[in-house]
Amino acid sequence: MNAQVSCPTPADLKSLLDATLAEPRQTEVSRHLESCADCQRRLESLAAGGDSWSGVAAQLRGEDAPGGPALDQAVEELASVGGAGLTTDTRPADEDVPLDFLDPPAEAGHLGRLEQFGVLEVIGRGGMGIVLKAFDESLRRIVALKVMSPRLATSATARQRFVREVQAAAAVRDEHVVGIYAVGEAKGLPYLAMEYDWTGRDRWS
Amino acid sequence: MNDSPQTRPSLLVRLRDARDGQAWGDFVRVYAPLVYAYARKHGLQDADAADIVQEVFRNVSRAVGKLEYDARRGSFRGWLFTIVRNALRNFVASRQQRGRGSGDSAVQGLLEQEPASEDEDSRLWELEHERRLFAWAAERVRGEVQPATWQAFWQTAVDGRDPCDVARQLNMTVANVYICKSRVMARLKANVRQWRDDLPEKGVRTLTPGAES
Repeated sequence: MNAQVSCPTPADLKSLLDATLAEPRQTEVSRHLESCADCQRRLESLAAGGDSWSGVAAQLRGEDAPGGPALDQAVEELASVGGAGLTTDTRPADEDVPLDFLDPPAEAGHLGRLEQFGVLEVIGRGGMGIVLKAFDESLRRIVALKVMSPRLATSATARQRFVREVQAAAAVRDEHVVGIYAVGEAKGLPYLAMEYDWTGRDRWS
Repeated sequence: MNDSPQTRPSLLVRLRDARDGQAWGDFVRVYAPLVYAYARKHGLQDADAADIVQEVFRNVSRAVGKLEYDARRGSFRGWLFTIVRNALRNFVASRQQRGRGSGDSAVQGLLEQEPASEDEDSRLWELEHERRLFAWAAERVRGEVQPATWQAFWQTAVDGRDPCDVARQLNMTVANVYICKSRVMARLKANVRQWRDDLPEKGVRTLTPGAES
């Protein structure tokens, strides 16, 4: 049989591609495609839409995309919070950790006060408490203050775990770990005062 | 696949709507790995690259409400690129500021990895962008088709194997291999196009001057 006589129309090929070609035509066209190199190429061109496919093949074939646990965590955090929730000016106060454990602010614009720390804003939530951006009056600098959640502070095991975390962090000397200024307890709540990282984010909460 | 881009508000509009968590989530899942890959290519490690991602998306979140369409200006991904580049610059600067100087191996590594020129850097970004869109589309389409269909596509289109060999191995007709290959290709392109169309190629600018960080 002369293959060229029975080549399907472009419309047929398009329908085949879209999976909208009805039987028995679909079976006929498939049978034809089994051996007609011209039509095989035509079908591919149709799919490629006039663009070069070889570049794309190279993209897909290329090295695996880099990944890591920090990326996965970042994606989960960012994806779940929702757009407006990311910006500190619109983020609502953490409901789980109300700030009423703080003393009233000593200065305008501060959220409150905890011993020598003037609390400026909530940076985020750690595993066991809250991370605040604060001004340390004794050191005269901005710090990231990780304070244990009052809710957890009554539990002896929780306090022990918090303290152990803090000790472990203090023991690590690494350029990727922020400096630790002070460890203490204020109003019965264990806290950790750390270098305020430029991203304002507690790296290892 | 979702309803076509023509029938629903563009992604940019939906990103501005703080209640549209779906739009934001989709956007993060596609673009975060791109920003991350770019940072990694500049020598950053996992944790630092993830920090860049956080910073960038914080900035995007702040600025997205002020974006508007202006035909004279650049593309969304160009706009995103300025944010990414600035975040990376700030990172290198802050590392240097910590008094560690140029002797610090991490900073040195970063400086050495800097592309020779801005053009080259832009090209890297464009390449990574394409790569990311196709990788994302591939994840998606792979989940939508039969395993054998995907294999028929991958082994011919990407691995470059002879369709006859693939047909034999997958126990399909040669015709079916070609059909699977073409259908998957078409779907990949449709998915990529949908993302590209949804985020304007041209005409993105921020309303407030200096709001672009």
